[in-house]
Amino acid sequence: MTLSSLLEQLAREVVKDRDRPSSVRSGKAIERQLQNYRFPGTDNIHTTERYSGLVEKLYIKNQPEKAAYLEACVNKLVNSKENDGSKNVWINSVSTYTPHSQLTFWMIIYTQIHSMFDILSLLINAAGDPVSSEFQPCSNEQKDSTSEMTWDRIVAEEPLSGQHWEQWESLSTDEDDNDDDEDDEMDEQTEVERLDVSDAKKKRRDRSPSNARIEDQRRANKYYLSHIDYDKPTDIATVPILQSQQYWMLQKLEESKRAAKIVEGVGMQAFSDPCTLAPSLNELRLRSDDIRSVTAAPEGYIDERDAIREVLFMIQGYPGVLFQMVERHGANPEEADAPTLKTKDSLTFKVKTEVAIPHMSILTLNNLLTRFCQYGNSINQLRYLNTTVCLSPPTRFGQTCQAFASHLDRLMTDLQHKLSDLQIEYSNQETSEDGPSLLKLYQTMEDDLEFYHSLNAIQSEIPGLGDALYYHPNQQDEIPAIEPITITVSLLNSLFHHLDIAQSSNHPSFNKLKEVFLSTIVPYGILMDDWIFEGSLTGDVASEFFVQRNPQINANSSRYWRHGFQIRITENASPYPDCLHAFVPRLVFAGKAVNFMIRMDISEAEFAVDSHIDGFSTQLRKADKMNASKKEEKAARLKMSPSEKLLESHIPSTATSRLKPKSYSAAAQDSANTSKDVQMQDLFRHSFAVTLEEYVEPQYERLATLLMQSLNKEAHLRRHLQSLANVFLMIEGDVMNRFAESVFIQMDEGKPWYDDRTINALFLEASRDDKHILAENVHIEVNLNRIGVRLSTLATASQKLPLNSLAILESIIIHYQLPSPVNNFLRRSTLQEYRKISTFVLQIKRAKRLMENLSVFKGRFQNAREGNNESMAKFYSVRLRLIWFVNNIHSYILTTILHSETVQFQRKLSTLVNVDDIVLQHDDYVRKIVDRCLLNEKTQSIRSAVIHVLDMTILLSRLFKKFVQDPASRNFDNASLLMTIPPRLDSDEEGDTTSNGSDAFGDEAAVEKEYLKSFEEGLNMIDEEYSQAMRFLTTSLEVMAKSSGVSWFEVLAQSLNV
Amino acid sequence: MPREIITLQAGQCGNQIGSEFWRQLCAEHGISADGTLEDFATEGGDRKDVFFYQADDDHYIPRAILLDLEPRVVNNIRSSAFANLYNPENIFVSNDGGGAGNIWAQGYAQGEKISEEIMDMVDREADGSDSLEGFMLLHSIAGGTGSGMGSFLLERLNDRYPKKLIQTYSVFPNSEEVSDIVVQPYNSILSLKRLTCNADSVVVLDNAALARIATDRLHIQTPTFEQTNQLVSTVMSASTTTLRYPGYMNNDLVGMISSLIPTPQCHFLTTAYTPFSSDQVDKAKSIRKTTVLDVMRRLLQPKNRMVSTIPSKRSCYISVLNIIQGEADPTDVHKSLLRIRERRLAQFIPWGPASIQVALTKKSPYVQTSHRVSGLMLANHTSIASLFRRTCDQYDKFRKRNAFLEQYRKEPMFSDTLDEFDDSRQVVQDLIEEYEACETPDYVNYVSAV
Repeated sequence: MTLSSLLEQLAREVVKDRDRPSSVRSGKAIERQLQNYRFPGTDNIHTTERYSGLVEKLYIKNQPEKAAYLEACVNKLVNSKENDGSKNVWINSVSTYTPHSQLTFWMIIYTQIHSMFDILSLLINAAGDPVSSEFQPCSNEQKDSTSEMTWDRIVAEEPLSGQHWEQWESLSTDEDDNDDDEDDEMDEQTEVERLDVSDAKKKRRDRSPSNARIEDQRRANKYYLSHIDYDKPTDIATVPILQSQQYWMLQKLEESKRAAKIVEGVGMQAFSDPCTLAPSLNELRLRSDDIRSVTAAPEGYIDERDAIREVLFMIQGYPGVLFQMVERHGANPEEADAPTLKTKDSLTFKVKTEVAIPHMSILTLNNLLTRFCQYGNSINQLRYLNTTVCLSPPTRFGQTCQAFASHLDRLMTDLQHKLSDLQIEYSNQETSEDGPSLLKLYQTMEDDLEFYHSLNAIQSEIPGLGDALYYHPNQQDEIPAIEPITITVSLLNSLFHHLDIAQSSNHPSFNKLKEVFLSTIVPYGILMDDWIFEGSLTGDVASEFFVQRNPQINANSSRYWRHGFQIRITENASPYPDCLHAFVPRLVFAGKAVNFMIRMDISEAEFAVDSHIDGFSTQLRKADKMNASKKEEKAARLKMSPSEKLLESHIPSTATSRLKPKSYSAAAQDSANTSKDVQMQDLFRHSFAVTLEEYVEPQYERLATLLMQSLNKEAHLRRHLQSLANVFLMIEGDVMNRFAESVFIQMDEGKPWYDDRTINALFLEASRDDKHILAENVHIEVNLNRIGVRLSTLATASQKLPLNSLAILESIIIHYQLPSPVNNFLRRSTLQEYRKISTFVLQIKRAKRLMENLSVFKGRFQNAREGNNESMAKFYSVRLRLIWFVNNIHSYILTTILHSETVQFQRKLSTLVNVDDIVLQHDDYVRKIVDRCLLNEKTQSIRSAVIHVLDMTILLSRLFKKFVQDPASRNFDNASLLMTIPPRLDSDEEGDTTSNGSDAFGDEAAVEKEYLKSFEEGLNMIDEEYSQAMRFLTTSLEVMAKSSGVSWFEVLAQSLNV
Repeated sequence: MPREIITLQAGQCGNQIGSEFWRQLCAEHGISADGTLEDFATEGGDRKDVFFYQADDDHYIPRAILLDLEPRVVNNIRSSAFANLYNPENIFVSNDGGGAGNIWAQGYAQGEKISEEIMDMVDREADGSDSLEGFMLLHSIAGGTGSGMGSFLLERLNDRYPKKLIQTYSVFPNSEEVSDIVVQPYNSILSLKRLTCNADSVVVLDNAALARIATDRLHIQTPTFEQTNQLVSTVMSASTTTLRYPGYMNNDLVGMISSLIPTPQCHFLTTAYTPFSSDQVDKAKSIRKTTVLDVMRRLLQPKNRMVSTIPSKRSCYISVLNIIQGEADPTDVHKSLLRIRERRLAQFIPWGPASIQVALTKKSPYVQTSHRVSGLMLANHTSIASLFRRTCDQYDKFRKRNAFLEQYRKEPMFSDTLDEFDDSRQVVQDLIEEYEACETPDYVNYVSAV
């Protein structure tokens, strides 16, 4: 029983019609339906899959509510089959999708009978268009009534508590100033630290830019006044007396010691007297048994005021009693040439512990002085750096380092002012209430000193700088070589880094440090300005900029664009500061572009910038100022409640409008909206990057467009690309087609085409009046050596061209002269690839032309070959197949690959701005088309199979000429061949022409027969080889398409698939 | 090295479609009605010299020869805006002006009489071209001049220029009704013999189909001759775009037809064009989205075909060439072909490999159309045999009764014998059989009876 008879029976049963023909019809109809439509199964997995598919579809169609709801319902239903209630819920919801809710209702009633999945499957089949139908979730499902949740509400409900939520203000209020000077040694360390902190805080509170400025001014005035008041001592005799009174004279020290001795033995009460604390302690120690606590007795005691003076002196760089040089200065008097190098030790102070202050324990004093000494050393080193670097030629340390040093100079002057002020202050303090105090001095000076100390740290972090700065006694040779670029980069890097840290830790030195950075980067900024606006590197005397001209590349070289300028190569560090990292490619490009355009003789007016554009460092400063004023503005505007501030400080990202209750005032809203930005902008790192972006980007874009325009306009880059496509790929215009055609005609007519002069003349003739090809750049060469033929032997006809093969076309080599500056962008290596393609295209064209020339139309030759129609039929069929093959290959190579890819490439080109991208895209494009035209190594076998089939067109063409064209012309051809010298060079005649020629005069019938025989043989041979090649091609292409997954094999296989 | 084509237009129909064709060509090349190049058209990029040559004063002159035996149509042309376009030396109107009276024999006989004059014109044009590719004959096969003189021309051209291609655009009569010309079956059969034996390719255009397209596709209730002629000229200009706008495909006629015609006999091509728009035909009102796939799919639909053939179940395409004009994306071509193959939209011959060839060409920049892409299909389809069969049936009915033969017997060719009729009938019969054999897998072994 067959399916159709069964269906017929079924139709009869259903229709209840005994009429056989109608049931047969119905049966057929059902059968057709079964063939044409899909009838999905109702098994569980299938149904669930379909539902999940629907869910996914809904998600894709951007109906997430529907999808989620459906998913939930299905899951609910599937997971709890027993629960009838859930089923109802689900069915209710599904019924909203379908227009068949009535049907659905009845389906529910039969739930017990049918399995659930049957129904599910039925429902999804019945559903008309679930995606576009209206959806309203059924009302019996309670929606969670969650009122709008805001951050403030949450905070109001559960206030943020705990120590970590406390604010600065609350912390600072309960801190009391514990300025007890009389702590013992045990507490001293911590005490100093606490002072440190409190002082810093105080400073922070006081400091504002305007205050600082006024202060500076005042200090400066005072400094000058003190100088004016200075008088020279007139009475020389008083000097010795005065000298004897100086605390630092040994005699005086001895005296003080003796005075201290007096208090010894007084007993424990001496401890309560601050003026005798140190001697008493000392005494106590001497008496104790613990040998560890014994310290040498001081040589003498001095006043605290004197100690302060000593400290101030030392900070100014002069040794005294308390501080002495580690190494005496002037150890090498012979090295007096400027700038003289000093050893590091000659700049280093050490604390002399022999002298003490009576009311301070020796250790305390020591600790304090050591600290001062450290600062003093730092400042001294900086001072030394300042003078050394400023005095050296800029090539030694680099301009950036010099800028740093000169800024140091300013700082040093400031410090000097300050110190002078202090000195005056302390010398006049006899009248004031508080006595002089080292600790107080420490407190006042700490911020400044700390700043200089950190500067020194920055300076000493720079690799190589220390070596270059200081004299090393054991290193006798020349001044060690340093690379200014290393100094520059690491100086900027570490300044930037410290600046970042200072800002993020809210360090008071941030503003000063910023000043240092801004001053230091000035020369670098000028270098950048020179480079990107003028393309000049002449300012870079110390070779510290990251771009350098490559002297090996001539300006006329084709590698000028790529290698003419390069990023400097440094040994281990990056050649540019890290903060420039993201901008380096654009910076390099901009300068290169300017240089290139100068070389292209584009008038400077076109790319020169307006003079009003600021240099980089000016822009930086402007941005900084703007930020500062913004900050002030913001500070003035924002008067936030503590809770808001709390929010702001801890959840800056969420404290935006979404969580703001609407009751807030408009101003607060506004500030909240902007707060995030302002905070981001506050970061120096950010504002630096923004400024750099604003500095680089416009210029980069302008230059990129300009360069692109001028390359297209002046150097015809686009035209050259088009020209390449036209010359090598033959896809646009018909110059190359005409050229190929004329070469083929020469071949067909047996005229010599293989000398350069003829072939170039043919090309020129073809390219006449054509505007698409830059014909003057094209030169065509015929190199018969390439196919193993020597021209000299050709002339004597002893050697024949390989006529059976299209390989002969490999001897035509097209040269394309890429003029400068286009050759910078289109690599010469790609021309080689282009050439490969052009040879292949020529071969295809030749095969196509040969096939087209088999003029079988009009039935002109039928009468000539009467009675041989079988072989003619065979010939037509072979011709049809070959022509089909040639057409398909032609269409694959030229349309599917070359034309498509070229169109895509040109489309991409028009969107490109950066010329570097052109190079990349072009390389990519060439690689793609070479691959897809089967021209790489891997596809060698396929290509040769294709060529083999194409070769058969020559054979067929010859067979046609010999056997199909009318006998009269054949005779003529053969007869003429006998006399023709030199021999025909094209592929039209076979080697045994002579015998054929003589036969032509012999018995016509016999010749006919012989011809016929070989005609059929020839056709059979072509037929056989063609089938073989096609078999190979189709199978290997399919296999390759499957195994390599490369799409174009598939495309080719599809094209060749019958 | 242009491959020039000389156009010969014979008879009323031939001259009418010819003048539309030249009007269209002038518009596409930016040539004004008097042959001067328009100011906007100096950019170039096209090949005008295939169909035009330049006179001493740089005017463009069509390589056209206008032939008629009665002056009406030619006079119309002479009084039209394009009067000065043509070379007056190339216009031939019979002196007596009596026409051929819709009798093939008269047209043929008159052609013989004036052959010297006509061949002079042809020779002159041929000598004026660098590398003549061939001739294009525009005519109808129903009337007297187009069919009779056209047939004579085909024979003479074949003799004189055996190596040049001859393509004809032949308008077939509406076979569903024997209308104004009673003897059109005779004329058709006699012309068909020449078209079979002496032409390289025949583009068949069918009055019935043209009228159908005008009414159905363009919603013109009663299409005028001018409107149907515009349809023809559109097809003609589209089929020659690859020659006029040089590209990498089908730069010459031989390239175009060599792959379309597998065996010498089967050279009757049908055409389809889409989309027709108001720009090409007045009052047409259809504008739709056009992509390569859309266009290629529509081209395969019978309703867009310009020949009303009745395909049988076995009928199939021998070869197809689609010429796609406009901003076609080459990447779409392969995809579209694949799609068409998957859907089996086109049935191909069983005896050899065949597929749709696609040629992408530019569109004239001077003629604005509302469509991005338009397409012309040139196809060799076996159902063309049904058209011949219908003609044969009509012919047989007349011939059995020897009806309407008096006029033919007046000419010496038929005065003694009517063998020519029978011979022609046989040629057409062979042609039909060959096309039918093409539908079988063993056509490769088919031995033509010729």
